[in-house]
Amino acid sequence: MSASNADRSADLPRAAFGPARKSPRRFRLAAGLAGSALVLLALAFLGTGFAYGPYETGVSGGASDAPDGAVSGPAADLTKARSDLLARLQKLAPRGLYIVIDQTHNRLYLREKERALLDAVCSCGSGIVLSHGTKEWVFDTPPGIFRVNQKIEDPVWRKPDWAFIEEGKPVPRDASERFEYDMMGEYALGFGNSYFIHGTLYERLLGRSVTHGCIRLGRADLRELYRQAHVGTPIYIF
Amino acid sequence: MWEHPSTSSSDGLPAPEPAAGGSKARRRFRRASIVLVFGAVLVAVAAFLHRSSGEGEEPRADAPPPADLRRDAAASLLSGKFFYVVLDPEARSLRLMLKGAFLEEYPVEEIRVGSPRVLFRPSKGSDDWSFRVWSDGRLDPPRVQKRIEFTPPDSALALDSLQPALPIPPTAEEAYRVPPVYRIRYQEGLTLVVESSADSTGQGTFSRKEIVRSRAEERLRALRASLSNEGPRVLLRMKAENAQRFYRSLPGESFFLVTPPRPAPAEPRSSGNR
Repeated sequence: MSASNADRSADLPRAAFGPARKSPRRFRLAAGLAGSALVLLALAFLGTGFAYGPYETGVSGGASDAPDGAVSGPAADLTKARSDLLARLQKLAPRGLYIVIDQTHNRLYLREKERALLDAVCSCGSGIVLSHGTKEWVFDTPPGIFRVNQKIEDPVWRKPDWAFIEEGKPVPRDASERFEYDMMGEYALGFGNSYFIHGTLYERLLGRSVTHGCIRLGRADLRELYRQAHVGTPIYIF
Repeated sequence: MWEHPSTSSSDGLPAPEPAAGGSKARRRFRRASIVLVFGAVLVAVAAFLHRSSGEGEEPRADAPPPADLRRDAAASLLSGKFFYVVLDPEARSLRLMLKGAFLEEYPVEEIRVGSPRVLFRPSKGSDDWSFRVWSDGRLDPPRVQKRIEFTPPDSALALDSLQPALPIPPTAEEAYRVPPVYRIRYQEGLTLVVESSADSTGQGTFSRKEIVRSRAEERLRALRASLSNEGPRVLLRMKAENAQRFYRSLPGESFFLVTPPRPAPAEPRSSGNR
């Protein structure tokens, strides 16, 4: 150590030496390194992920070099399998009228070859869970494929046990006490295991999921559906 | 030789820094640090590149082999037990189907295909995603149905006959908040990214915070997907209204496929003048 440095060290307080003097430089160095690392990380982040390009009809990601989109090799096998599958599915498509029910949005469509002949607001299952003792009922409209299995004019509702339980009433022993008239409207179209498309006293609730699993329709739409649909008409519920 | 400032000198005081030798040492230290950082970054880059090129050529271990997938997919779809979504690129639409029956249509404004890349270097992607049938599609974030549990009153109450006894659940619009960007992830690795188009998001459908958060989340997911070779990613841009309808209606475990291109119409024969 030189004499001049030693003198300086004697004159200055300790705090003026060491870490207090050097920390800004070290800080600058550390900050510079950290900044560089951050810039590199940001670059890595920007350059990693997915770069999106337009979809070219018939050609996907270089699977085909042909200008008409023709494919060869394994892709050709896949294309053929897919086309065969779609053709087979097309053969299963309903040939005449069919009913589609969108239970999420409470819409009922009567379609013929994809054309909507009727577009109606309906009410589907509420999804409510009713519990009573050890018993439990879930009021869902079942999704899937069904067929109209009966058409009834002036239907009468035979109230099941849950209808009494949810109202806090005792379940009657006499079957005649279960019948309710005018609750289901003018018509009912049965499907599945005791489900119906029917009318309602609560037309103001159409468009909301409030039923016990059946489909409720307004009077005019129910009349039109009843007129056009027949026993055997497919029903698709999603 | 420069000493670390914390090292005490013989007189008990911290050694002051020598002028010329110290700056040289500092430069060496700085250089060494920079070399170290760059070295670490290079090692990370090499690791990423190795990982992406190595895994990209191998099929995912958990992905079913294509032949079985085709057979299983055909059987599942023909049985009518599974819903499927068909993307028609020419008609720009998504069609929800069941056993050949058309159920609902969701118009698509733009279809974009994602190419994975790691540090600007394209990594191996799936070329044949549009020829395949993809199964078991699941929404991300999932649509969770909150059921109302109803316990009937103990004693008989005088109910208004025009009042329903059960509570009225919220509508689909009230029950399910749809994010501006969501995904449908298929079992074999395909991810459909559904994004509400910018013009339809500016009409008060989404808050700015929601849009930023949703897009940042998608960016991070895409980053992770590209690093782990999760599979192809296809972006479908739709009007917010259609994207929301699709999210709320899509049945669980649905399949996905793309319609093949329609054959070009034959050119009319020139009949000549008669």
